[in-house]
Amino acid sequence: MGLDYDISTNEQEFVLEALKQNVRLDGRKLLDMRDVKISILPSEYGHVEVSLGKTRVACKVSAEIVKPYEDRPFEGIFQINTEISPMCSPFFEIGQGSSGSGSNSRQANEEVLISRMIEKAVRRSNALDIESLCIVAGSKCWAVRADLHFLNYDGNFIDASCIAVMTALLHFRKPDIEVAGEEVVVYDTNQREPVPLSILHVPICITFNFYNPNGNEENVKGELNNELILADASLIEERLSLGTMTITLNKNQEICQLLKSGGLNIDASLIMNCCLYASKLVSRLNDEIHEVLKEDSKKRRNVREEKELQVFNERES
Amino acid sequence: MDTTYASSAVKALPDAPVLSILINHPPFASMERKKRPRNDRRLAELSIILKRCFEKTIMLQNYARSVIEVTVTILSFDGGLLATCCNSITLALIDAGISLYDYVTAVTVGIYDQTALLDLNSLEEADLSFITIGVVGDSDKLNLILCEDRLPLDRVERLISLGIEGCHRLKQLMNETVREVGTDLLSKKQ
Repeated sequence: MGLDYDISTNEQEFVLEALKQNVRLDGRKLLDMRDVKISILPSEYGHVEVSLGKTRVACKVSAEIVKPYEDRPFEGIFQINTEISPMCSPFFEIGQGSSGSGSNSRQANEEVLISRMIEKAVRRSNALDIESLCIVAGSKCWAVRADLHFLNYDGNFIDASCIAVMTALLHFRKPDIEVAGEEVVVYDTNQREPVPLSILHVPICITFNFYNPNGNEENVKGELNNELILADASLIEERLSLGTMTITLNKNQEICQLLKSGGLNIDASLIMNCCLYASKLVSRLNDEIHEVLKEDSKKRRNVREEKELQVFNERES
Repeated sequence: MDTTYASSAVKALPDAPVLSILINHPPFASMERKKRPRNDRRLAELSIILKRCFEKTIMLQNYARSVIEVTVTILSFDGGLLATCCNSITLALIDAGISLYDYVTAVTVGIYDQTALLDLNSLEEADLSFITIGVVGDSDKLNLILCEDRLPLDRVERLISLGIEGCHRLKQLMNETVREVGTDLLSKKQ
């Protein structure tokens, strides 16, 4: 049994009362996001750590050559592995999400939703072109695998892990190969520059949480529409929220995935406002990711080697 | 921040009522008779979504220390799975005499080129982007939105408004049926 997370009544009321006055515990505005810190491990390709306030997620992408699925001979394999361990917070448990017996507890629910959400945001939206992973049709293809590790939990796993997976995929380089008939030669990274994956678009998730200052009846029947909307909730805010909505967008203003599962009933116009606000956040985050990647590639450039490989010698004039 | 962790095993029967929703998808329901794994993640997700959907709509304060168990069996699958589950659960709950704030109705809306389509079948669902929308009663408030395909942001508003209209119509139809059955039952009693 996992542990439940209880918040004292005093604290609950304090947080909710503060929210009604547009103040959050960490001093943010209601729709502000925490600072996103993306760090790429310098030693290898495709190992990224993302922190969103105290929430920390690490993602490692790896690739190997395998036989493709029989019904999809022209496609590679892409898997996202998410298992939330008790390491990040004591109320997650090992292997709970997949077992049917524990599916009624809130934690197990959360885990299923998180892993399905990332799966839908990244895999179903075709962020990674899996046809480009095919090497020899029907016999050899790349199997790309993204392993997500949740290091610390302070709310909003979905947003953090989506950024982590996408940055890791963008950063990952697979070894260069050469195909001659059925023969495949895999070159070592020292022999040939490894090649990046073909990423078609960069989906980014934004999660909103809803609170109701007026009581349940008002929400169902009333016309007030003054539900509070928060972006990027922390752990306590997440626990106290009465409903969440996660929207995944890319920078082309396309929705890749949208889920509001029950909870408070929110007016359609408010939801549209959320979507528009999310699209602004997404373009900012997208720029941030590319900024980090650019910086990293600058660090990785080997100036001496580049000089050696240059066709022209530098001449003194 | 001072917070306590309590083992949930201690609270064997919580004061708050428990709502559990189970979805069965037997092999005969769809065209291809595929054996599905018992713990299908997709169905698990659907049942969580439905559970959250009804948690706020059932007057749970009337059902302390009780379990409301809902089992949905898909008899024949032709698109709109989540929407149909949602509508059938609403009607089943009403038939069981469980107090709801209002009807929860859901419908799928898809888009083909510029045209918005209401209630897609499974062939259409396979090729078009679609959203499932759930509305409570006659309001414009959304209880449920689910979109799993890529969809341009500027089209969403139109789809949602069409979906809300569809839901309102559904509510009318459901209301008529409920009242018909109700009067029928009453007349038999006398």
